[in-house]
Amino acid sequence: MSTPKKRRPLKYYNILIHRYLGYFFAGTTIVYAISGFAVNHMEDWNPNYSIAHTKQEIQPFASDEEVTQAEGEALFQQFAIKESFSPDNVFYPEEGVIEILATAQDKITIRTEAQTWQADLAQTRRRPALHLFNFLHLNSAKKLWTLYADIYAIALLLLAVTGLWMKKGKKGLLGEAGIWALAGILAPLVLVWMYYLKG
Amino acid sequence: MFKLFSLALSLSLYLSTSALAADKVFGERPNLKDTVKISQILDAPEKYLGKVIQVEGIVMDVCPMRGCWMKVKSDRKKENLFIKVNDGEMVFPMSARGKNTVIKGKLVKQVMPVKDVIEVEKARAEKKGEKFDPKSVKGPRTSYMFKPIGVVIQDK
Repeated sequence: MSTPKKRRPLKYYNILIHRYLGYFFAGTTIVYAISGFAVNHMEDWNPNYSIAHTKQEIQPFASDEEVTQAEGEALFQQFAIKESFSPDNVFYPEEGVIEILATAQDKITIRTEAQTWQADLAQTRRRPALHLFNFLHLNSAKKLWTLYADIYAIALLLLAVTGLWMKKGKKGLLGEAGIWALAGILAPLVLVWMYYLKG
Repeated sequence: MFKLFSLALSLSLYLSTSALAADKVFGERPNLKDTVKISQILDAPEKYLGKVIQVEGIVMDVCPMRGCWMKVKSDRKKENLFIKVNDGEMVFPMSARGKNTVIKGKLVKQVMPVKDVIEVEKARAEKKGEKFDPKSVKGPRTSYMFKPIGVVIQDK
């Protein structure tokens, strides 16, 4: 004689969903949190690339409107650039400025106004890990990442909702949990009033 | 189980071959034909305003912060076309610099008010350590930029 299956309480499934979604999306949450912190401060720094500058005085070219192969090669040698010089990658963006791309990451900007020309090699490099984190967080990949990010957004919603129902009674939503949740809503509301409604 | 593994393997192979494809495409893929020379556009910009056209050139520079703009070299010296998207719409990679691009989109006119032109010129003069006279600004500044619908960055 088989015993009838005992029906599990809703709380069991609530904890189950919260726990396993938490485990599964822990990595993604860390990536989004680090990237969020990095892009929040975009006005103060570049979260994707670091740019190192090396400045040198150079001998003026024969013309500030045409860089010859020999001049380009000599310049690359001065900056210890191993790539070969290509006249196709020379730009004249404004009067008194020449830009030369050695590679996609290395650009030399030459100011030609003074008697002695100033050359600035800007070496742009991806920030390790952060560039990738921002690429994912800002959904630059689009396509299938959009789907994954949508699933993650739903998971976050479920985590929030199931989190609210973790405890019952005094420690539940009508008690301690409710006070914390309310405080968490009120704190950003003050900022909404300061910057959105008042502004 | 084997079927599931084969499916996962096929998907991974598809994704990795897509990632290794030489050209990078953003938005609608341009047809690579019927391009208008940048110099032609800059000579008579009003003629092209609002029309869907295609331009081609070497990428001079890319926005290092958000990848939201590119400067494309004109076929004529000392000229370039400013390509601008809304943040996040397309993210141009730094690796695009020095590569050939074909862009489908519309030319947009922008008029900067005198007040803003003065501010820009003042900042530029300060950067260069030069004196600046606001009276030297004669009026609003008109500029043109290109709003892309589709971009292909070709591997050399």
